Amino acid sequence: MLSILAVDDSPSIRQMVAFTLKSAGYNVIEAADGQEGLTKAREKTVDLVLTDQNMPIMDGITLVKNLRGLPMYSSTPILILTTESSDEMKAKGRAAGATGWLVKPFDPVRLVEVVKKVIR
Amino acid sequence: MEDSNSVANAIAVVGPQLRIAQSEIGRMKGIIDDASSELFTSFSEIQGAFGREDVNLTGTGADLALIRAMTALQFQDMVGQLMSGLSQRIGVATEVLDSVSSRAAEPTQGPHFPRQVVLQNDVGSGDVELF
Repeated sequence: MLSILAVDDSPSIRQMVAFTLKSAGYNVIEAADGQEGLTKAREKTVDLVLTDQNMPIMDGITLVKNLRGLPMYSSTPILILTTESSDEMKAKGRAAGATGWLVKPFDPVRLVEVVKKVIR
Repeated sequence: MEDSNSVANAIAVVGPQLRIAQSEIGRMKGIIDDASSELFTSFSEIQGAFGREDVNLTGTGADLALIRAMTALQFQDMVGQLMSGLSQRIGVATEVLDSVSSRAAEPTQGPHFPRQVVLQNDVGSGDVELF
């Protein structure tokens, strides 16, 4: 079973993301901030990372940069799921190495379609 | 002199009101977080009552209703961020007023107001862009 790391400081978002992706047959590991996400990503290599941007301790873009620095995550799809929609922030995400940018709120059907498209 | 007294008087009135507003925002966020928690718990219990552990993302009827609910329930995250930003903004504005009213030394840095991170006006699903 493919595994997805879902990182978000909002318990409600984590709950909805986990429910959606588990319904689609994925194993979901959750983290409440970028630092916890990085720790869990190191403990178990996942097949896709879905992260929020604005989080305490470590934000999403910093998490993306750190993950891309790890050999096992050099080509793993990393999606940013955030309330932010500015071109400036999207450009930062892209420059950091993110695979895509999803603006909240997410449509569960669309989320699964995107995950299926990018996950290997 | 009169003008500066008027400004000082205005600040003396507005400052405390801003603090009250900040406090009320904190209580609003607490109420919304509490209500969201109850909603999510009910959402899970209703699913369990109907014997559903997951949602059919290609289904119809009840599944479509669940999918719509899952999108709308994300309001808590957006509203929470809006309220946190609003509270910070009021806090910085209050500090600016305090510095003016106390005639303290000019701050070495200008006030730092938070960025707007939530621009959505509704709970319709957002855009997706793959790089």
